[in-house]
Amino acid sequence: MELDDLSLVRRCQAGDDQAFRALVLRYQRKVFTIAFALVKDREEAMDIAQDAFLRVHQRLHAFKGDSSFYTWLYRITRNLAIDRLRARKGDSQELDEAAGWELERIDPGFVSRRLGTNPQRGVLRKELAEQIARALGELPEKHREILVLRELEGMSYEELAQTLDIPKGTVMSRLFHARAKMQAILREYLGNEPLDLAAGEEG
Amino acid sequence: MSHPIRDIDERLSAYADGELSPEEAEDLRRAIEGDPVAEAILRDHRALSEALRLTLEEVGEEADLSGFADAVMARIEAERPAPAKARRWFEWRGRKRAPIFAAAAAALATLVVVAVPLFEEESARPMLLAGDPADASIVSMSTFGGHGATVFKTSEGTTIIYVTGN
Amino acid sequence: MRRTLTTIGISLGLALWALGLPHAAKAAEPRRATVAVDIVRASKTPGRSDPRLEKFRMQLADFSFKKYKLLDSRLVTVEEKKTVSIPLEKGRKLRGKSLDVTFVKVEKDGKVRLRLLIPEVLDTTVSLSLDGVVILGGPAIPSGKNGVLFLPVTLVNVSS
Repeated sequence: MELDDLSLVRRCQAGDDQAFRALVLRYQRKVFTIAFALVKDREEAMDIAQDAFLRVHQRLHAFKGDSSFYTWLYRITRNLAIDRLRARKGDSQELDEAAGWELERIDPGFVSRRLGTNPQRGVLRKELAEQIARALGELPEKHREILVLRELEGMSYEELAQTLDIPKGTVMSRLFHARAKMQAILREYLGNEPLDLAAGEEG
Repeated sequence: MSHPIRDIDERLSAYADGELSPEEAEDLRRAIEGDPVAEAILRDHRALSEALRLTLEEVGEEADLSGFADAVMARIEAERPAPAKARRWFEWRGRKRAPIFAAAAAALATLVVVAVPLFEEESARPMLLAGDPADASIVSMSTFGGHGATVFKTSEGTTIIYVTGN
Repeated sequence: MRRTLTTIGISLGLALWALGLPHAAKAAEPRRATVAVDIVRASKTPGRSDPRLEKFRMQLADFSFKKYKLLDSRLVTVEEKKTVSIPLEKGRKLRGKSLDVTFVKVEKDGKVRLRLLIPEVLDTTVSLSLDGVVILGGPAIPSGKNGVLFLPVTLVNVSS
């Protein structure tokens, strides 16, 4: 019988190392992916992921269970990743949602034509995945982060608000801006690609 | 051809996520009915979400995490403080194979105690035998009045000071 | 719980340095011990035990108790030479029904000496390493309910 997070945490708090190992196995992939999405470097993402679990283990006795274990793990991972980004260089990629650039909606429907709209299709062509990963990497970390949490974790706006500690209205607008920017970047990449690389079906 | 962004676009994004209230969703549906631009935008949102999800999943799948948990546990182990050698005043050795054995109680004495005001920090999650049983020793022990005390060890070697005579 | 015994070597050296040596800059700052105390009620009437106490229950198999319930868990921080009093019944401050924990001192080998006092019942001084645990068992339940208490006391941390 698989134990839920809280039961595993309690066992960890009572000194059960195997319970902690089970938590690591349960979340290692997610933690790595989030770290990678933020720092865009595999080696660093591995380091961050390890550090995150270590830190969690060190602070387990203080975990009260009032937020979900994963939210807590996520926040630690994210803080470590952001520290790493700041240490790298004066990372000034933060973009204010309100100010900055003028958004123009270019060719509505372009993205869906190029990516395909068939929800049954579970495969993305390698080249396309690479383009998307690259485009994601070009976004400011705030936007990258919220897209990853929404699309990979399937977090609701409520959960995003809680995890990121921002109002729900900000969640909505930040996601919108992240997507708009992402689409603009993809338009640049995919617009120049020959049509046969597109994995999408004609919309 | 480019179109100006309207406030409706933000709501379209939230609508594609299924995050509008039923009333808001209904309002939006009415507003965009027969609007090909709005419908194209919705398709874009859904396609992008799906593509992002697949891409991110692939990033996770591709990573070689086969030794990751081992590495984490090894670091945890390495960062534990090493237990110092126990300096034991009472050495208990099992005379029989039963998991618990009793040792003779220490001298009984009468003591006066006064309780001190509370200084507590927080309510914790139970530790409950989390520690290493080898890391404990009794320096001294006394009981009051009609109480006696016996020292036991649990099957894993945890020391129990058990008072009797309640 | 599996714990490999590591060689003492450098780790102990560092631990001793961290705990033992008087540090001029920190001389004024009192040391603090963080101690976890769980309060478990054991009774002879059969019934379902708290699943968190499974390991505990198995280790106490030779006692004749049938049911264990976790009443409370406390994490207290106590300064060197000071005492903290933990009520044995949650929410009640009944005179004398407490466990008084005194941080006596840090010993030369880095272990922490704690005095554990249940007024009018038991006075014991123990020596614990980090993560070391000792259980005080047998005191009556303050409210008079049948059964007895078990109090695992664990040294969680020492700060300088």
